[in-house]
Amino acid sequence: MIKCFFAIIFFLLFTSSCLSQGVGIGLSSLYVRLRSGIGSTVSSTVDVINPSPYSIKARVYFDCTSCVKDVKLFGIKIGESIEDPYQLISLDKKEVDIPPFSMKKGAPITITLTPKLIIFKNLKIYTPEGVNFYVKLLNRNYPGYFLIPYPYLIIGTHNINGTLTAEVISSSFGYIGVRPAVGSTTEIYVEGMPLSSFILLVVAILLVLFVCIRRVKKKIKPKPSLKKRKLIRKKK
Amino acid sequence: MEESHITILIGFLILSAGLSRAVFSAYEVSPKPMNASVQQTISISLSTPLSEGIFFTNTTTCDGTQNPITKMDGWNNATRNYYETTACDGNSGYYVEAASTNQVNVKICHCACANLTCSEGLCVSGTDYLKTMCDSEGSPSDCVGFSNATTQGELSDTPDIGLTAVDDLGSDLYQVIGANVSAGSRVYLRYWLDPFPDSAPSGVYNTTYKIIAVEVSGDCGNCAC
Repeated sequence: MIKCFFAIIFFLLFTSSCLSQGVGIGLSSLYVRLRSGIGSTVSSTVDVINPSPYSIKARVYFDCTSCVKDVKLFGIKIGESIEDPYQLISLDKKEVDIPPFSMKKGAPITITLTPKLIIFKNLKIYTPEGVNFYVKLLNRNYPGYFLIPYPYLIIGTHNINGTLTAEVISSSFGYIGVRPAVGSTTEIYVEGMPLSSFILLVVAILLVLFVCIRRVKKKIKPKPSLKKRKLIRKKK
Repeated sequence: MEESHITILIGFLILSAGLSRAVFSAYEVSPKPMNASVQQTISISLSTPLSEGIFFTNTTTCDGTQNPITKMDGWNNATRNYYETTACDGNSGYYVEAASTNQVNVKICHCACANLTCSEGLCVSGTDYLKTMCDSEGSPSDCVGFSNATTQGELSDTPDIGLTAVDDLGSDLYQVIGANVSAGSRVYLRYWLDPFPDSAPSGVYNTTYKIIAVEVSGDCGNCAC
């Protein structure tokens, strides 16, 4: 009788604690650091884990915190410089399925850094409200800014900071009202062209240009003036 | 400068670059690595009521059911602010738990992706809204307010913090709700809504709400929705 009573108590305790646990998610690494130079690809693998009793589908993305920088002219902000981190890094999967209680071995995600010498950034220029009114007469969907893409040569070490985030998007729990997520601090270092090499390149280009201009000048000899031509004829 | 001189100079530059690479690489000391691999996991779980979502009900009723809000000029409870009780003195059903297997403490943050936006009813879908973000963290009003604590006993019965998540650049950031949460510990929460604008048309308003955990010294980052 007493055994039965304790069994019921333990059963109720166990089931009540199970009921209180909802959806969860985890990552096997707190910190990801990738560093590489041109021509060398490096990668790191992180496991998305699941501490909850429900299977989950997670979205994995890199949330860059250093990719938007203010562009100022004489101290006045004229726009923003925006960099797409996916030009340098890639994730092998964007969504993963993780079974319940997968704490030891979850779903692996590989983040790969492929350094490039030249990347493209966007200059986001905000137009004044007075101008927006006229532009919106022509294009109602004008967002109030325009983007100018421009190439960016990586000189020295280029650093990207952010968080590798895994976020629950669906679960066997049912409809998820609040999305739990975990983030791993991520630092990316791309070793581009050394400054000395860049100076050498500029000097070499200038010298080549100088040689070309001189050759072109030599080929295009100025015609003698009318007076000179008459003098030559007279001499003949 | 003669053309031949320039050609010699370019040749010299290329030759010196090549020579320096060849000479110095020959005397390069190959490193002997000392290596270690460390893997520290972090994970969090939400309570069942928090996983289901935050449903605001009328006034300060505590029976767990969601009723349409009629009180537009004051605070309205979330349905599970007082879980498993019809009296407004029970424990909160909303909490985030740092897994007991965590080897390091975590920072827990939250954010709302946008204002509560009309999805159905007499309001204009996608246009009419109820404000979620408060103008400041302290003395919140006309927005979503909350209280947080690491024990149920310390959890306030009034919204002492406003939901705020905008930095000086204008991009949304996460708001910290648990700055240093040790393994196995919980952050308990209660939520309230003071609807604004007061003249919002009848209807259902919703948005996406997220909770993120990072290492205690890490940055929760942008609220990417």
